[in-house]
Formats: sequence, structure tokens, C-alpha cells
Amino acid sequence: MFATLRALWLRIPFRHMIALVIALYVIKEQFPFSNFPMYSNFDTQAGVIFVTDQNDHVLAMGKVFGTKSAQTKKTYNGELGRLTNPHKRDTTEATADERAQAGKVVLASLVKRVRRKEVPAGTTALRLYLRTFMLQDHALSDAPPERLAEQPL
Amino acid sequence: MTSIPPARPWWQPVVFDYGRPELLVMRLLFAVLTFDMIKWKTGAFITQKFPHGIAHFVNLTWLAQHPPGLFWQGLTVIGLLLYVVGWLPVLGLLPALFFAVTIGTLVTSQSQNVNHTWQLVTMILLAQFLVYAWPRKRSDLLRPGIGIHRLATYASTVVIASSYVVCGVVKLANSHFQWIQKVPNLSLQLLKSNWAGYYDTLHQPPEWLAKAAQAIVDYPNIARVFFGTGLLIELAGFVILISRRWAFFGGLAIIALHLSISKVMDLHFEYHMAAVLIFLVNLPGLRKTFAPLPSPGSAPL
Repeated sequence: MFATLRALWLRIPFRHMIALVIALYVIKEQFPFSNFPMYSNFDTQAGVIFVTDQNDHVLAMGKVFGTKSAQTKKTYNGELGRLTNPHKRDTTEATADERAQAGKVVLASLVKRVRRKEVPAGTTALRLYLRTFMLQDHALSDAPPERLAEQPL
Repeated sequence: MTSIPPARPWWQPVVFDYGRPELLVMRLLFAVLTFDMIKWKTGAFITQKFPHGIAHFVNLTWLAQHPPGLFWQGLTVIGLLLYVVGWLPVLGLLPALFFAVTIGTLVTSQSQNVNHTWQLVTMILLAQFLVYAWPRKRSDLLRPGIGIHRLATYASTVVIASSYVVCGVVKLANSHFQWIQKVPNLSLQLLKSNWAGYYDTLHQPPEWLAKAAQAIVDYPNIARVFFGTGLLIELAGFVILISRRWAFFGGLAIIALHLSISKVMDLHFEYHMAAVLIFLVNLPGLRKTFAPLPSPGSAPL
């Protein structure tokens, strides 16, 4: 029995790789393992997060918060998912109120890690925005950014 | 190809016949890559709201309160030096593996959609650790022979091949085999990633960005050929196991893929490229890779 199984195993092309591909596919995202799902499916809209001061002047997220827009978007999506998942809705179906709630949590976490020295003089509040690009009927569009949250600094 | 015995079919790979100097250079470069990859500054990661991996069972936020300082980093360097010279590599890799896994897990447990900067190198580290921890002879634990070092390098190559193949497979599965059809939607990702770069640094996105995004929409079939080539490179990742030459050319193709992603999408996978450069392109071994006759040192697994 064991010998037969071993013989079968030895016949599998690229057997070690095939075994690992199956394992990674099944395990998915459990660090250090990953099935690397980035850009595996595309929606017809894509959002990007940014932060401004109270006068809507954009702040450099790397310098001011030591994080990145993409990472912040992932955190925002996670928070939004917490609100929509209990109702079995996709994050794309979130209401404006839910987006604002998730935005508030994310902005609060950014304020905690703000590097005061890097904040431009005169900044009294921070605003978190979501800018959404869309593709409809072969046309790209860029709606005015949605203000998700504002917090005094 | 150079390293396959004539009777062995190409789909049954063998351990490549790396020489001692090549293996030494690979270990040295991989040690440097590993140390550089570990995100030692852990102070910002005070929660693990979206646990992944061992964070399901262990609270790793102590790493934020006590970021590994010079002592632990020094210990990791000493361990990696042992690994490079080939003495007790299983013990040598242990500190690096511990910090790569724990810190990587904490960092990727910050959000539901994880960042993919650290997985490939950490998996290679884990694969090498397992090879060295499972010696064929007892003496291999203290001072492994060349066969074990070759096996560790082969395991690294298997991890690289598997990572790219699964990445391609997931694209097909998650898109219900519509990935190529949906390529025009990539124009949105192009806009998103480049503007995200602007919001990180306030450096204006490239002038060609809007035109390139529109061109993907206007000429979808050309875009499908361009991005489809990337998918093909991922799905065909297994070829790097066929021989040293296939590894070399496959490695160059993967690096070209990443460089084009860097240029177009503003997404940079430096650690992936470095690992591919070390284990697949293997510059110190080029002479052997393109030697006219099959090398005799290959051993079937």
C-alpha cells in the first residue's frame, strides 16, 4: 500500500511544487503562507484614501503618519467589513453612515500615530477622504472625493 | 538542458548541481536579504485586529511594546553568519525565522487585506530551516554536506515556483476564469496605485498616467496581450525547476514582470526580485549554467 502510494507520488510531475501550490491555495492568507491574491479580480470601481488639513490641503501620509495610503485603505476596508459583514452585505453596499463610522475609526488610529514635527504649522484638524475612480460604459470617471471623517488635532 | 540526466523526463525535476562557491554566495546574499526584510521597527503595531497565522493563537502585540533592539538584532546577525559559513545552520536560522514570522504575522494582522511584501522570503526561510532541521545524517546538523545545501536551495526554488503558480491560479479562480476579459478594469488599479503614491509622498503622479489608463480602456485587446503575458509568466512559473537555464531565463522573466509592475502600477516587490536574482538568475553560477555539457553532480530526489 505504502509502496504503491510512494510510486504514485513519484510519478506526479513537479510533485513538490504541486503539493505546495495546493497547500498555499487551501491555506490562503495565514502568514507566512499566502496564495498571493493581489489583483486577482477587478471591480468597476477603485478607491484611494487620503488625509488633508482643515483647509483640504493634502498631507503626505508617509511623512506625517509613517504609513501609506494603500495600507490605510486596507484598514478602512477591514473596518467597513466589520460593519457590513453581520448583515451579510459586501463593503461596496455600505451606506454613507457606515462609511463615516469606518472612516472615524481609521482617522482616530492615524491621529494616534501622527508625527507632530511633520505636521504643517497651522494645522488644527485632520480630514479623511475617499476618492473613487469608476469605469462605466468604456469611460473612466473620478467623482469628487467623499469626506469620511474629521477630527481636531 | 545542462542538469537533467538524459533518461529523466523534464517534468521530474532534480536538485541542481550548484558548486560550493555558488552556494556560499547564495547563503550570504539571502542572509543579507532576510535581515533587511525583517521589519524591526514594530512600535506602531499596537493591535492585531485582523489576526493571521499564529496571531489566531498568540498575542504578538508585545513586539510593539518591546521592539527587538540591538541585542536581538545582533543575535540574528550572529545566527545568519553561522548559516552563511555552514555551521549549525538550523540553529543559525532560528532567530531570523522567529522574528520574520512573528513580526511578519503582527504586521499583516493589521488589516483584512494583507500586504504581500514579506511572505515569499519568509517562506523560503522556513523551507531552508526545515531542510536543515531534517538532516539525512547526524553530522549534517552540525556541518551539512553539499547535498543538504543544494537541497535547501532547491527548496527555495520550489517555494518561488509555487508562489508564482498559485498567484496565477488564484487570478483564474477568483475571476471565474474572466481575468483576461476583465483586464480593462485594471485601468482603475493603475489610477488607484499611482494616486496612492501621490498621497503618500506628494510627488505628482506621472504625466502619462491618465493617457495610459485611457489607452487600456480604448485598446483592450492590446492591454490583454500585455497583462496576459504577466499571467502567463506566473502560471508557467514551474519551468524554473526544469534546469539551471530555465531557472535563469524564468528568473529574468519574473524580474521583467516586477519591473513593469513597478513602472506601470507603482507597486514595488524588491524582496521578490532579490530572491529571484539570488536563487534563479544566480549570477556567480552563470558559467556553469551555460556550460555546454550536462553537469555530472545532479542527484535525483
